[in-house]
Amino acid sequence: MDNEYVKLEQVTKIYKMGEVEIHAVDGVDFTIRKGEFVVVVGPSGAGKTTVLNILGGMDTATSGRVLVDGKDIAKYSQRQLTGYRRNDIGFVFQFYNLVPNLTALENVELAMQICRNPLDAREVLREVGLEERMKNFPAQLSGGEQQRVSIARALAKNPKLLLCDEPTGALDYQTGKAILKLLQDMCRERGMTVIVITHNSAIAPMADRVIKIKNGRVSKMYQNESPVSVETIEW
Amino acid sequence: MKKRALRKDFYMEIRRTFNRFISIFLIVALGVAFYSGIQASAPDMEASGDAYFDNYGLMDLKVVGTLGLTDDDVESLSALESIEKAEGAYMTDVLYGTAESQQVLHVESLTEEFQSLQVLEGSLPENPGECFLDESFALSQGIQVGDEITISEDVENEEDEVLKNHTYTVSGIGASPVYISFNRGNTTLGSGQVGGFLYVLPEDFDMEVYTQIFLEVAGAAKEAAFSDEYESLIDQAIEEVEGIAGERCDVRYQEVTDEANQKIADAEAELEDGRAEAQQKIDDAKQEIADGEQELEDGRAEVEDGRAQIEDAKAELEDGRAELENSRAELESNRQTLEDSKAQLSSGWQQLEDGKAQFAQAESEYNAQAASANQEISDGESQIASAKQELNKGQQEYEQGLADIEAALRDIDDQLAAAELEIANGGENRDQVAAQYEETITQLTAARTQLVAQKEALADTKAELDAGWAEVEANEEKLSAAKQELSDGAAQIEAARSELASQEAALASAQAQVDEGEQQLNDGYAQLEEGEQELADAEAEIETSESELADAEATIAENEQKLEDAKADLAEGEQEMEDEIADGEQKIQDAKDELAEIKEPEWTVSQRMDDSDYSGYGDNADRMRNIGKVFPALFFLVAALISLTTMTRMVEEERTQIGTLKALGYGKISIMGKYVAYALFATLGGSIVGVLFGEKVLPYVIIEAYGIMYPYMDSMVLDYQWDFAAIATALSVLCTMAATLSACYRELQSTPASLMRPPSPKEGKRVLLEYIPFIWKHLSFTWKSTVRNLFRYKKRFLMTIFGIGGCMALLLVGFGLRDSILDIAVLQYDQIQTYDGILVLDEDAAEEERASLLTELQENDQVTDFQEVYMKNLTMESVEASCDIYLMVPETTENFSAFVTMRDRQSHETYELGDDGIVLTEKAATILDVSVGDTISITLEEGNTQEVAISDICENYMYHYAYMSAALFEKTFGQAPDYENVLFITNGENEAEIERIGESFLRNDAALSISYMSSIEDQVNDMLGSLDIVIVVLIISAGMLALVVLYNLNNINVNERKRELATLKVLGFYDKEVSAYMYRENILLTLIGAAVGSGLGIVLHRFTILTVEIDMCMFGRVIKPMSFVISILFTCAFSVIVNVFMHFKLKKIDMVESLKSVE
Repeated sequence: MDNEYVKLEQVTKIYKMGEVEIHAVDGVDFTIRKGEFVVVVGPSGAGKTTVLNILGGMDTATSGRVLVDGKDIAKYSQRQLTGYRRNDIGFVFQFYNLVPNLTALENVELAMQICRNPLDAREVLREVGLEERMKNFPAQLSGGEQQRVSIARALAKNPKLLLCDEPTGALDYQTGKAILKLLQDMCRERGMTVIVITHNSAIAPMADRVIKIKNGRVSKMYQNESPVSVETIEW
Repeated sequence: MKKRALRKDFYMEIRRTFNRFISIFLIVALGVAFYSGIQASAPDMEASGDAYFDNYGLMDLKVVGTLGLTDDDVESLSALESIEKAEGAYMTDVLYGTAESQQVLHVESLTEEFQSLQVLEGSLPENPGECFLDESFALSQGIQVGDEITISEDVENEEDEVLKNHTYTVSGIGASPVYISFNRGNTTLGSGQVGGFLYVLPEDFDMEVYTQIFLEVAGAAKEAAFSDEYESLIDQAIEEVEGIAGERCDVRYQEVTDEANQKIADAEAELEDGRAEAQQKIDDAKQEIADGEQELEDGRAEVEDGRAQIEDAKAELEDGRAELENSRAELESNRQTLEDSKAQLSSGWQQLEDGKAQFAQAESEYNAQAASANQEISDGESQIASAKQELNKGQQEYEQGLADIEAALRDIDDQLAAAELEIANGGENRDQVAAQYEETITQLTAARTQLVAQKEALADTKAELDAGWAEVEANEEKLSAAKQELSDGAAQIEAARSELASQEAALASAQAQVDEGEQQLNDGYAQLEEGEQELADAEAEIETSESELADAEATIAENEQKLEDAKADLAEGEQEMEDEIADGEQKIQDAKDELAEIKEPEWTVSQRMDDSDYSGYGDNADRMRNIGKVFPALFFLVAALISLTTMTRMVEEERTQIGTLKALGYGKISIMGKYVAYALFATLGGSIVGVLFGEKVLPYVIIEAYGIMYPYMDSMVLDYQWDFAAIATALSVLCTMAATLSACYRELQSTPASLMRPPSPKEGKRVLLEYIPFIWKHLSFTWKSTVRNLFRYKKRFLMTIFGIGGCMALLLVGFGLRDSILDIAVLQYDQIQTYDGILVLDEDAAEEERASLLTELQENDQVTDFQEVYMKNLTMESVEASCDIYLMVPETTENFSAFVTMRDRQSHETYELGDDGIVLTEKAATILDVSVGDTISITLEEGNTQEVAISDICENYMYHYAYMSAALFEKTFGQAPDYENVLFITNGENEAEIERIGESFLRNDAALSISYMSSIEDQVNDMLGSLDIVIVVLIISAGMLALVVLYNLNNINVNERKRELATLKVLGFYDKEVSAYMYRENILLTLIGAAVGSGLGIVLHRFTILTVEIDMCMFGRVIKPMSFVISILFTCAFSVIVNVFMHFKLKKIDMVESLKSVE
């Protein structure tokens, strides 16, 4: 069971633009174990964001099965999907997507108040290293700090999956590294299943599992026997 | 926009953001429509009025002269440069109907050039005695075309009447441009208010001079009524007319005084003539009396003669009577003699009769004997004859028998001979034959013996016959003797008969003598009767003569009386003549005095504006203009701000694109061009549609609404008012363009690089509320975020509040106006003037009639209270202004509060009527610009103007009143008030009951009329009802505004926060939760907006009331709580509708938005 915590089987996503059919995802298969740190890499337009959207319950697959913790979310209705996002998924955005007029703490609380068994907001913020900046508004925080709030917001929901869409895309090198470190730590310490989507294949060595996507298909997937720490990676 | 790519981008932008384009378009269209439409209503109303007045040729000026106007006046007026046309006309006020429902009609003569009438039914009068009647009057009185109406003039003697006819056939019913509304003007007659107008032909007027001259001012028709140009033309014309007024008045004065002098001279001459004539008449009368006396004397003498004649006749009559008696006695003796003769004659006749009877007996006896004798004779004769005949027959039979026997004997002998022969001849048979014959011969022999016997019998018979013959001869001899005897008897009878006849002849001659005597006697009697008749006739004649004589005496006595009377009359006539002469002299003196008193005539030049309805129409247009300044401005402001926000937002949204274009090297103008053109298209398009729609529809609706007050104005001019259209369009274009340009400019200032980077996010800020932990801590997390959100987008916050507040304010003003207007009738007649009606007393009524009416009121248990008051509409002046105000003076102030509540509008503190000053109603105080303690001057009548202090100012809504105590009135004006009105309160539950109670008072002669407050209340409601439509327009507009504004702002809000909302969705918020997240803001905004709108509405309502209300009344100042509730509910309903729309929009937000980079 734990070996197939997340399993995608022949997942396709076809957008119809008038007469033209665009196969954004064209039969993706992969499995992820519980507690793994997964990096999904691929060039722009390869379909990795679509995969993320499907996995995150933000979009539905045209065909195929998406099993998360044994449940096929591909068959979920919109409402079930919302519930799924609400309780099972934590999402970290490239541009943080914090609510600007809520403080860091309040942004975390915003997510918490809707889920079933949230963690303590202050605790989570302390964990991500923002103990001092809890009462600050996003505009008063740096990009990295904002991303930490974003991560804290995702974590506080105590989700089954933590999905991160280019979490370092808007950050500078050092900050980006710090964020990746935080994610890795969270994965290791909390046993959280973390899926990071990036176009930066340099960070692949730090992952437990690497999934390479190209032209809407999984071109390569391998398990990293000895993932390295972020600090050792340079790009 | 020469660059194709940019142009394409522009079109695509419009298509892509069609919602936004349309919402700018609509909001501008709405704003412009409302702004220019309401503004255009005033000029449209004026233009409609102008068209109507020009169509119906309403005069520009009217000249009325105190001494009338002549044709010369008309000529000299039309000769004036500024006057186009002039025409003289007549008018007068007359009374119509009975005293109980007396109405005053204003009668004018038809003119050729002015005031063409609006014929709604029938036709204009063509003949004298026909009239054209006011429609509203006709309706109220139930008069129809073809009916006859009778009017009366309020003059003392017939000479003063100015109308030839007083009964008119209604030939037509309709309207006159002089009377556009319900007011028909005032008069000195009757109730003081003209009930209707009446137009008749000038020929129906019996006036020497015109009462008025209508003028058309040159060039005035071209100018719009109510315009300044028109007014200035009129003012110039008035100046010119007044310039010649003095001169013309002098001429007229001279004419009138000359005429009067002439009249006085004539009157004096006439008086002299009269005096002479009267003297002549008296002299004649005296002569006649003398003649009469002479005649009377003659009459008496004649009567005496008559009497003597009658006496003579009576004596003659007595003689005649005696003579007649003598004749009668003679006649009686003659009659006796005649009677004796008659007796003798009758015995003679008796004897004759006896003789006749004997004779008749004898005759009959003879006759009887003669008859039997004759019978016997004839019997004998016939016996003889038959005997003869039998004898003859026996003879004959004897001869025959003899012959027969001889024949038979011969035969037998033959036969015997024959038989012997035969025997003889029979030889052989002889025996036989002989046998045979033997018998026969025996028989024959027997027969022969018989026959011989018979011959012997016959010889006996012959002897008998001869004896018979002898007897017959003896009988014949006897018979002849008898016949002789009979004829002797007959001769005796004839002799007796002749004797009787001679006796009868003698008797007949005696009878003739007797008859003659009787005839003579009868003639005598007839003569006697004749004489008696003659006597009776003579007596009758005498009696007739006597009665004639008595009549003659009576006539004489009568004539004597007449003569006495005539003498008395003469004396009286002399007295009368003297009086009349004195009277005539007095009149001449009076006329002279009057002449001396004739004032120099004056001209009153009035213009259209002097008519309250005409100026009222202008005021209404002005009021509309005022409304147009307030409402649409607010409306427009909201619309402009919304489109401004929208455009700013659009520019900001496209920041990246602007940066890109800039980086690509496009010039600022090219880049800005797109946004400017976008704004221009939307705004200009919206403006054009708004103008086209608004300037037609809104003025139409409003003029239609005012049509209730001006039912006969049939012109409607809905021209486009290009100035308002231009202002509205220019303003809206300018606003949005300026906003667009400034937004573009701000963006374009930045470098392309920074433009392409996302803008630094807006800082979250703590709001004031957070510093009040008591409240903040108790707010739920979501509310905290809502509150912060609200204050974060300040512009949107303000715009929304303003939009919702504006909507709320407009709604509130709309409903509030209704409250204010609907309320005034209720407040005025249920709370302030609490009496049920006013009974107007007849000023000419006798004191006891009045007293009986008051007693009736006192005793009527349906009347709970009443109060005599003095009430008159007087002009009151302050330093600033003047105003027509009803002065009401109650007979006693004791119970006055039961009839009129004098109170402060706000504090409801009640005031008492004191002797120090008057209590003035609020609106009057406002118009006069006076307050408590100030004084105003009241003109009671000409020459009696007094100052009086104001002690209190009280609440009042309809008309103006000044309440004054009787004591103060007396002190001020030096006279006691005439209490000619009675306020009364009944226990009647409804209008009909009160009217039934009131009707009973009117039967009293002292009561003139009654006005019921309930009917006034109805009138007021009708009049103000026309504003209802305006209010509905306001409410609908406000609703539309609210919808568009809220939709637009929400649209912006959602667009601006798409990313945030998408993030919420990703975080797992359900659709409802996402919507609720936004709704909370909207609800708060709506509530705040409603609160702000309430405040704004109260202010706006007050302002509107002040501009809309007319001088005559004060509208309520209070908006009812219910109106607040309704307005809030409406606002919330609009908000809810918009939120429902938004929910679907939110649902459509794609979560993928959250992954996009910040724009």
